[in-house]
Amino acid sequence: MTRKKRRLYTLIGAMVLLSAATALVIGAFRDNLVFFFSPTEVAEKGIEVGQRIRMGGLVEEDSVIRDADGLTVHFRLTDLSHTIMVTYRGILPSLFREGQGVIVQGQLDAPTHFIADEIMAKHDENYMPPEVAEALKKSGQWKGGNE
Amino acid sequence: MNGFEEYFAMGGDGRFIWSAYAVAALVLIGLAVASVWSYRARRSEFNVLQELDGGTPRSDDGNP
Amino acid sequence: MVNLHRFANPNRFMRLSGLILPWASVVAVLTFPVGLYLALINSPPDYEQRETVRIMYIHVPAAWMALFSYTCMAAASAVALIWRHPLADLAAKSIAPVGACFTLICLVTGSLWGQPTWGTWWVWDARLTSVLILFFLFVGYMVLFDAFDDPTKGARAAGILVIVGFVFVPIIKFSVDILELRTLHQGASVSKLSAPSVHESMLWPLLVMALAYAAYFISLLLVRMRSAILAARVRSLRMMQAQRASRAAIVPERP
Repeated sequence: MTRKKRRLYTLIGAMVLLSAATALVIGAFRDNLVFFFSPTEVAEKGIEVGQRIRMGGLVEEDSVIRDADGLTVHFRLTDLSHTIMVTYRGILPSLFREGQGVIVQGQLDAPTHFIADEIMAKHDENYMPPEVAEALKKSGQWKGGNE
Repeated sequence: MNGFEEYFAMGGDGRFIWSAYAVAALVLIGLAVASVWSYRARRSEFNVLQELDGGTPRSDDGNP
Repeated sequence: MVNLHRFANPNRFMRLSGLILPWASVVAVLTFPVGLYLALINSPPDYEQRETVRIMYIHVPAAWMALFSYTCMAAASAVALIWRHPLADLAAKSIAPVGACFTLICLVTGSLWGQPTWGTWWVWDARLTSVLILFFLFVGYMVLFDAFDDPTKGARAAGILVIVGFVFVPIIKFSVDILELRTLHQGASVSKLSAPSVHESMLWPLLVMALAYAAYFISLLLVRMRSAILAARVRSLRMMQAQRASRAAIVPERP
């Protein structure tokens, strides 16, 4: 075997081992790498009251209630099988609306009530001009989450 | 002027959009200028040394 | 096997790059204004994000080019480590600052996009964090390359770092889709050519900007590689002249 060949095989071997190791590590820590829990996981995994977590889901239609102080909002966060009530005081991101995916950060203060101190809006990978979105909705071809 | 101001405001998000474009332009132009400057410096240095060496300066490719 | 060394000849490279460079730089200089016009004036706002979508036109190509630069750098480093090509290390070294700049642009514009849309400048989700690691890998490469007194040792250590770090590139690319890691960052919009989820009126400015970034990358890569070759020639000329001078000092030429 020439020196060049040996170097080539050593390098390929090292890369394969390293990739396998990385894949195993990521697989093992997958639950920790998950950026947020769904309401179902929060309900079923026994997240304790007071434990700081992030929870992601859709803002349920017709569930947003704004308090008179203009800062506090209540809404229901759902993954379509479980729903958790969320209360948040602060400025909402501009993409926050009913039907939109959001991630809330904070803690449960009761098994089905979440106090959020930060809200992040998720958005999907679809980009289009307003007229096109309008036309899609009218023709019934709309696939997005929010109407 | 109103049209201009409205355009630059970008519906209220102007500061984010314009700073993003400014950062990208600064970084790209900065790197390009630095690379071309150092290339020019190396080339003239090389040409001077070549002449000292007695040979005719060659820029290798006929490029100015 | 084809004689790769034929293409790795510095003289040949100087001649070839001298031919390509003007074209690449002209393409870059022409496509950037067109891309900017399409991105900032001639494209519609998004139905949901409104005007902030315009950040996409500089953010997404920067991300693409950052990953592409890293892939090229890893490939060049591998060639340098295995076949000891004279130009491969030079190519990898020339790519590093360009790739670092693309990654920096990706990070900063992403942050400036995240604040008005997501409502946060930064989160430690899998996608964003791995791009930050990519930036550190570029910077680490440059630092390591120059950290040794013996330049060949520096090149070898830096090359190994880059190849080890290469396992991150697929993770960055596919962390959202394949590993199904839930992130704040959305999935890729232009992952399939048949039906990208970006409307045509926004896809064109994106593709023109991507072309501009690519032409910029090629131009800078060639300029930096030529610069490095000239630097090596200057070094060897200096050395030759110094040797001649010392020889002349010891053994004076006879009339």
